[in-house]
Amino acid sequence: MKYWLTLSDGTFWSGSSSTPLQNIEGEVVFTTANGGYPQSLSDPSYRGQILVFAFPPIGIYGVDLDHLEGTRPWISGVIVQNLEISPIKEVVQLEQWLEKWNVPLLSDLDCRGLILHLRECGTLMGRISDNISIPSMKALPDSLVSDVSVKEIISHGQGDTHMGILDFGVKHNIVRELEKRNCRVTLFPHNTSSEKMLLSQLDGLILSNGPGDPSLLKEEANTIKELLGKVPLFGICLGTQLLALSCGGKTAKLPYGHRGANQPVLDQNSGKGYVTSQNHGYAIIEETLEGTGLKATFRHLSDGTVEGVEHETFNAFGVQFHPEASPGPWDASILFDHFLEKTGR
Amino acid sequence: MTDKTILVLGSGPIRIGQAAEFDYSGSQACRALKEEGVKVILLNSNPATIQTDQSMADLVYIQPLTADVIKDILDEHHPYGVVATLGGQTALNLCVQCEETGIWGAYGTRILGTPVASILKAEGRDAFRQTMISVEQPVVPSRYVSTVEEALDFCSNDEYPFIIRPDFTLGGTGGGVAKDKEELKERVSVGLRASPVNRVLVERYLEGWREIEAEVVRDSIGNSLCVCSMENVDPMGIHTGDSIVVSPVLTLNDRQWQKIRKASLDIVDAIGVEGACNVQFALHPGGNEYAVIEVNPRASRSSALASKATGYPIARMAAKIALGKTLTEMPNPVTGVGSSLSEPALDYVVVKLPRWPFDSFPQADTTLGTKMKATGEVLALGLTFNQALLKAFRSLDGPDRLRDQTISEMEEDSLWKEVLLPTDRRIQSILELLRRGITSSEISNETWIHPYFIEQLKQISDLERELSGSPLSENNLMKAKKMGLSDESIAFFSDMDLKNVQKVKAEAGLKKAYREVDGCAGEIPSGSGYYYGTYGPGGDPFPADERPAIAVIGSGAIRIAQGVEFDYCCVKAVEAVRKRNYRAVMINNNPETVSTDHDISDALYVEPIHEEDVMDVLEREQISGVFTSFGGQTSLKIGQQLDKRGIRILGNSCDSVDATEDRGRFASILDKLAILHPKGDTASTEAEALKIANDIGFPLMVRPNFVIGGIAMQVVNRSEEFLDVVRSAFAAEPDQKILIDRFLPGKEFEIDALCDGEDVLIPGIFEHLDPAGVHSGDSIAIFPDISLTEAQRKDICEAVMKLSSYLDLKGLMNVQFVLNQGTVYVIEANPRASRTIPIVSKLTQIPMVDIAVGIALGEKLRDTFPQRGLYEYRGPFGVKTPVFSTEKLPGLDHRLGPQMQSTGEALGVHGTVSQALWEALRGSEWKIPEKGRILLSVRNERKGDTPAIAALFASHGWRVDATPGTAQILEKWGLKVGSARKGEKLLDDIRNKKWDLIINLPGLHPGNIKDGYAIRRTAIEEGIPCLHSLEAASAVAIALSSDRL
Repeated sequence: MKYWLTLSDGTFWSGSSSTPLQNIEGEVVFTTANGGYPQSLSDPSYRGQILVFAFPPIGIYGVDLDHLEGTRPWISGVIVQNLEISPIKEVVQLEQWLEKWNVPLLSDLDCRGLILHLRECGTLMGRISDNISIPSMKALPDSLVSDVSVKEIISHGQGDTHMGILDFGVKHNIVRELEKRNCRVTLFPHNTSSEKMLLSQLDGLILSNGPGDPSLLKEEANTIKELLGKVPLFGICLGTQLLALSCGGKTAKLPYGHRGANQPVLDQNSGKGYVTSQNHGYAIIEETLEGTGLKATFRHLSDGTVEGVEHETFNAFGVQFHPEASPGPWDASILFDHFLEKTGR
Repeated sequence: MTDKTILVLGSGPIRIGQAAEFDYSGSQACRALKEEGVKVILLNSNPATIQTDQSMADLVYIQPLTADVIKDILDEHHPYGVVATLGGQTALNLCVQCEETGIWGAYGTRILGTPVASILKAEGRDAFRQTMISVEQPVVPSRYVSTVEEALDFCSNDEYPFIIRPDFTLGGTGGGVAKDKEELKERVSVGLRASPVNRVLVERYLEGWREIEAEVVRDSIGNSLCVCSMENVDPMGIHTGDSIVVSPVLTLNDRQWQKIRKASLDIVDAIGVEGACNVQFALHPGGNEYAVIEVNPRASRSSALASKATGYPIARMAAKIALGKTLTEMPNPVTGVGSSLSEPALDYVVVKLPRWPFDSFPQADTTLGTKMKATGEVLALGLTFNQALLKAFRSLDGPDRLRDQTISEMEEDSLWKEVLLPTDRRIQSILELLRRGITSSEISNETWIHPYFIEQLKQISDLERELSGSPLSENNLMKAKKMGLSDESIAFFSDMDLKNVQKVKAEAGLKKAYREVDGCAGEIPSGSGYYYGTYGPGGDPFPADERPAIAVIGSGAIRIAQGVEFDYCCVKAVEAVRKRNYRAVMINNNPETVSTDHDISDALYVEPIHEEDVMDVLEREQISGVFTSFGGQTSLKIGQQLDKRGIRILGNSCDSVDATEDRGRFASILDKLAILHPKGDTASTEAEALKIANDIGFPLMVRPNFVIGGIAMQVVNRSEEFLDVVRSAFAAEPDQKILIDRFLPGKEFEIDALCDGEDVLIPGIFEHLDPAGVHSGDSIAIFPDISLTEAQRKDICEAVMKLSSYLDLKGLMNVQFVLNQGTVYVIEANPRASRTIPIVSKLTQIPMVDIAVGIALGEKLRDTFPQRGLYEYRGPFGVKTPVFSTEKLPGLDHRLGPQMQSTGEALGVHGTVSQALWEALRGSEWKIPEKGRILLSVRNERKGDTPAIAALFASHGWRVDATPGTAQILEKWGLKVGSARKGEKLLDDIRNKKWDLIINLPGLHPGNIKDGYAIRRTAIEEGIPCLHSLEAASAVAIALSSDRL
């Protein structure tokens, strides 16, 4: 069956699906990662978005359910050039998995053409439907973080160190990385008060990744402000943007974001470079860091944007990229060790 | 770095396992270093390469890659440092040798890039193991052993089972798996007996494990990236050079791949690589357990493949890293902006297929194993595995792999044999089994090839069936094009005319789209100008370029008789085209070469050199003309097809090619021009043959197209003998054609000429040392000639001039002559760039290709070059020696004849012929001592000519042994000669290295050839130099005595 992706600028792209799809709208973004599509699709940070894969064959090994990044595919829609079926019987097929969760999957679409267009025009809203019709959605809803965050406090694992995660849509591999390091992990809903978290006697708190525009999360930024200096903080992606906002910095939307498993960053302290996994549409505006107590510690080697900050007074730092990878390279996973050291345990 | 001088080591002659990829890496290195402002000195004995072109380095030494040559260079230039990691194992070994003997230290020459200590960590067996243990990486233990005790000593109890692979056996005979100590004892002793060199490889047996490769680049401060991931379709047990390789890895999930990626980075870090490194892994079929197979701390064949697969120029970056540059400071080499630490992301699938030499060597064993047999490879890019695979099939020359009749006529049992043993025809055989209804799961269970790949092949066979079942619908056509089928194949499977397929295609508006390779999957604008074609929606915009476009068609995979020299010509042609302000378009599919570096041309298309694919490119580029005379036979052939399609062929006309290739036409042209040539004709019946023989007279050279027993060519003197040969040839193959020519024994000569239709320029004449009958590519050749008279030279020039003006040539022509009883005869002419063009260009400094391109574009020879006719060359002598890879191909007879065998060549340059020959021999890595022992085994007809040679060797202090017949004659002359033993004992003596040099002139009867075969084969497997003509033998004897300074 023929389906269309229509962008808010009026351009449209044809694709097909073997099953009927429901019409959906979302923000159209692309990733250049060659592997790890189940991890991307289950990453809560993609909430509200339609993800375009640059790598043409997608689905070859099905879905590795034992290593997803969220409880379900959080994505609104998926666009691939070539949908593949795994020949291995025991495997859960990508198409079936998405169908089960009612996520439309459009294939046979000129993904490279679409990506070159997005590269020129910047991220746009899009609509997947059986006709050419411009999306009515102008912006993503405000509810993205509350959609994906845990609804109540949840504890995982055992260990001497007690690590909290303020959950804006945490990727499961962050939890796994902590558990691997003998941490007990407690997930807090995004709107948990600072008092409540501090009562939990945390050794450290991770400000997790998550979807959407950080500047909309004023309350959360306030909570972080209250936590500064009271518990060691480690921001990842959205968490880092919120850390910056809480200190008085500002964020801005990137033209088409950084999404891929190949993004190089420079650690400005050590001079060492890392290849990292990234998925962000917003970035911290460096000039706004002045006077906030935060300084840039990591920088994107290609476009120079801020990829990490650290507080000069308080025990708090964050990175814009994903040290938990999944999908992507594990080069930066040492940041978890670094954080554990900073907790003093 | 300015003002610093840096020595770059090349890789020497091309052989199996060390091919054109080091021309790519070495050339990139030289260019990168020059860019940084350093003075580059290059040492490489291979004259056919781009790397040894004078534009590549400030100083080019075409000399042997040996420690004493290095010493001389260091003495004279005192370079600041040496780069040795971009010239293959040859350069690496030489660097280590010079380090161990303290040569670098003595001159204060720094080793740039990966340090020797690191090299040893990767290559030393124990050091490697220790290093892997230190970073907690499991290894696959393997070792060559020559005794059962050694094997027992090596195999520890906890690592059984082991697999035993005897060295140099046919079809892996004598190998097997040992599950315990007792079995090991038995298997190893059986294997040792089976191996002619008494050596077996013992390796931990990992049944069905897959092979994954990671290509890593690391800088001196520890930044690293994994440029490329590669997955071998064939599981463990087949050399990666003989495997079908896919990039990026397709069948691993993120966690599985990242585990391997991390391991490769950790390993490269632990070793301390500063530059490029290749890490090979064995992967459990389940995908979660792995072990390290090997680490190559240098640019390799895989790095060439990785560079072309991603666009990321690994060698170039490695060279810059050697100068101390870091990955965090350099811009991205593909996009020009951003960072060099950006790991390439692909938005296509890459497939590499090996090119084996079995078409040239039908006697060679075609089974594949742990030793590489391919001479070259092709690369194809597509949106899916199938699309890339089918494009790769088309990129190989020869019959269409999808429609191979020899496969479709095979019994199922035989197909399984090809699949399981396995041979070069494995993948076609799998396809055929699928066509016959064998299930994919059965095949993947039996072969351990990942089910995904078999399932993809199944889709091809399903589509074939669909096409044959119904009239061609637009839908099916689209499906077929997306899968990668050519119009021709679609026509074949749907039983239609090609024209009708093209009609349906045009009606459906189906067109190919081209996408740019940018290393970032579209994230950042690149402008690399590196394209591949695909079917499906879309296509990248065509860049604005006002200049008219000219295409150069490359030569495809390196194969016997079509080596790196044609890539040299293509690259020089592209340069010449660009220089004249045209848009230069390169079409080629060989990932190992310089021509497929995307910054060489304005637009590079890595596409099959196949009519449909090439036409599509030419149409996109709105090409104004095409050069098809620089890429050897491959491009010449496509030229003929393009000509018919109305494409403007630049330079020599296609008709001139036809005129020289059609034997009848060529003979009548020569007659018309009163140019002497051996008379000849073609016979399809015995009666015809006899008539021709009577017309021409004896002696005759008889060349059946097809013969059993390997006697491809014979010289016959009498009619009874002639009848025997003709009868046996027709008995072997009744439908064949036999070429019958007057045989003119004598010396052969060869020239390359520049022709513009009015004038010719001949830079010099090559004199072949081996007698007529040996392929010119396999003969030792001297430039310029030393034995022609002025009158004979004049005759040669006149013949060339007549031919050039008759054929109205506008470019290069190669002509071969034989000198018989003082008269010069033309044997053949080829109006195209030849194998010797790079040598002529380098020795005479006449830019042959550049001038040829100029002529084709309207320039006149008289305006470009001051001289005409035979050039007055005043430079040193150049001697070219062939280099063979026969030892890599069990079953192959190393007996020189009309079928070319060599894979590469070396050049020696000196003021005297003998010294130049000596240099060339050392450049070919012949290990002939100044004093040694020689074995003479010469057929009856030539025995009488051996005494002078034997005496010469004896006078240099050599001990001379001979087989009984030869010994008798020598003794009669009073020469002191040892008599060699016979049969198996003789072979044992060869194995025990009793001789340093063997001269073997086999008899011409099948029985004698068989005896000689054993001698030659044993010698080659033991690495003992073997000469096949008395002319070459006496030249070597003279070279030995020359006064070396």
